Amino acid sequence: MRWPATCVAGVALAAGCAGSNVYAQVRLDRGYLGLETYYYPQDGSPVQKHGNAAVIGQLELRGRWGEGLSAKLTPFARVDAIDSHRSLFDAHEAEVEYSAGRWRAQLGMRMLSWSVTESVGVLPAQVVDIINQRDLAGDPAGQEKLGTAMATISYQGDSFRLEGFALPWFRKRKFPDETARENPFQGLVNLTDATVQYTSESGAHRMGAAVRAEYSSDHANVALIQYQGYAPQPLIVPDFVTGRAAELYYLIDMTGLTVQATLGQWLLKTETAYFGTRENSSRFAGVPASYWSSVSGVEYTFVNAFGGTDLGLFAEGLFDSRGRATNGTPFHEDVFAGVRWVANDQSDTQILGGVMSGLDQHALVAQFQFQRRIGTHYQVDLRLRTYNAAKDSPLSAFNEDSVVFLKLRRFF
Amino acid sequence: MKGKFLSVCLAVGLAGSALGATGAEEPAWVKAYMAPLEAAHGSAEEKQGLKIYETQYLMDKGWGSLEVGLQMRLIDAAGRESERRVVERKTEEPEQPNKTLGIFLEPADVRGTVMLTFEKSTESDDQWLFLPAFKRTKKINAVNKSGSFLGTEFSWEDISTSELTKYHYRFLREEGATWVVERVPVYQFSGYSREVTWVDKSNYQTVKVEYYDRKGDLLKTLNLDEWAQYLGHYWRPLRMEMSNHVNGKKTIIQLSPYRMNAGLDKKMFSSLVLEDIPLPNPIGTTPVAAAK
Repeated sequence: MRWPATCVAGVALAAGCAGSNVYAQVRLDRGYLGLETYYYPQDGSPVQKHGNAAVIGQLELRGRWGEGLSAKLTPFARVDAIDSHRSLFDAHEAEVEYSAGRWRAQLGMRMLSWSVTESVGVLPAQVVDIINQRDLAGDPAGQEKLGTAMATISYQGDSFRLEGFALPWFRKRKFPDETARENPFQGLVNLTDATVQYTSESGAHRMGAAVRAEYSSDHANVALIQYQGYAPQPLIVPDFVTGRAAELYYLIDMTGLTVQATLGQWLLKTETAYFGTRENSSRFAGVPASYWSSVSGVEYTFVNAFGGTDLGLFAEGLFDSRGRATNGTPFHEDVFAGVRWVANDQSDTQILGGVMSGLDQHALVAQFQFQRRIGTHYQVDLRLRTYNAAKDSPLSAFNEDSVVFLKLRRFF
Repeated sequence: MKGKFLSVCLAVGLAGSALGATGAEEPAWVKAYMAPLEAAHGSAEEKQGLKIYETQYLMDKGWGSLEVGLQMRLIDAAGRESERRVVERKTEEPEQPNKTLGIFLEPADVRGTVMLTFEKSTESDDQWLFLPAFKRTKKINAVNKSGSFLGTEFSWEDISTSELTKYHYRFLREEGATWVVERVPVYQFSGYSREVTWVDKSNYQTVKVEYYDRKGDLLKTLNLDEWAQYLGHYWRPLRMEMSNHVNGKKTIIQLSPYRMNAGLDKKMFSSLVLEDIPLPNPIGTTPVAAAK
């Protein structure tokens, strides 16, 4: 069997529709089961642990009914043996979609990616990719997302696509608990029992909206994004009622631009956005004034480096006008530079190494990532990340810390 | 209009007559496409080599869109095997190079990865990769056409050979039922200094290729077998075997029967909607009798 776990229902929906291609089929497109562990060799603060270990799994199921109607269900599970707060059951996708000609409508939980740069793969430095909330408990580097409920309608032109999103339910960020590492609060603030506040009276159910227009030519993909809703990263404020910390989510109007373009052996990328904030600080202390944020860079590909392998060098600049003030970002004036090596071998071996460095203060994050297939069904993903930051840096809480991340998955 | 011209040049081409004789029937795009090529091929051997490939090229126009399943067996020097499965979809664009969608099915960790390519002759192809794990479509730099395709002994350059303008041709000799024609890649980052090809006189199809590396040494040999004809016109090999003489590795591609004039939706050949392509069912690669 080519699809060992395939369940082909093959239920004829309507016997009356003789001659028409009406069928129903549900099958497993992809799935994996794996182990992942984060290990921190150094000691953290007294309450902090040395890491965690979890079993992870995901299934991608798809159903199709006739020509235009289909559904996707992508349940994800993580069960952590050491840090139960990392455990998660989530519908990364649970949607129905209907397409007719150039139109497509989707309803349900979805996961999208609007990022185009490399830096966002190392740290939670995303600029425009804000429609899905991040699961920072799952991955402190911000690579894990949560499914987001949305209704989408899109239209595909000859060289462009327009998408409109209605976002009826905002999900709060999933933070690690105080014993977790790579935690900016160093065990001093526990966000797992933090109250959640919203600057809108409608709370999590305030309707958000987004519009995205992407243009594609042979040499460039350019997208414009307008997002209106809560910023996915909350402010951490004191809750004077409970005496604990509170997560405060505030509204933004984001106007963003992403570009991916090729120019000979060069690849040019940017994701840049302006965030208009609405609330004035007299009502909600700490909400930043409107700000700019950008990650932009280039990648150069060497041809036939080391006999048929692909070698690319990339450099990106990170800028954020909030600076490193309170409630700013650690990535306000940084450079990320690195190398990507793709072996083009039977095991799809890839190595990515990079260093992010602050320009106006000493703050260094280095990451090395190695990925390859083992045999037919297994894949190993190894990452090493280490921090070195001065006392006045927003990353000082991570100074001298390092992590070994290992993920082994069996795909079926 | 194009169809009529094609059937004419098919007949002419297959009869081995000079294509120039049909000048009155040649649409403008063929003239415009061929003119620089013909100008660049000066000597009698070059003209003869170009003529053979020109006939092959024009014979292969008119299939609209196609779908085929590829099963790739990778065999290393010690005889260990691994397997890849890909569904390939192509669409013919009027007066432009073809667009290709490759949808990876096996190994399981890359299943659902989609590669979209707009072929270019003298510059790098335009290429995008949809990564299902990240739901992200990346524009990738396809400068390196000579690297391995999916870890096989085929490079991207070996697979995407449909454009006539990618090479400079020279007729070498006749060898039994074949013509031997040398092709020199035009692309500056090609992995090869030259390719020696054997073209079947009966149907103008390339049945064997020897690839010579940049230093001029024999690197690989490709044999194309199990020929089938579709829609009465289009010849395709169902088995391709590439042997690498340097590393001792071998890749055998077994193809499913082709679905030609497949009526594929052309708007799906766009970087904007790679995420919307449903995973196809694996297409069987059991060879069947050629279409009549």
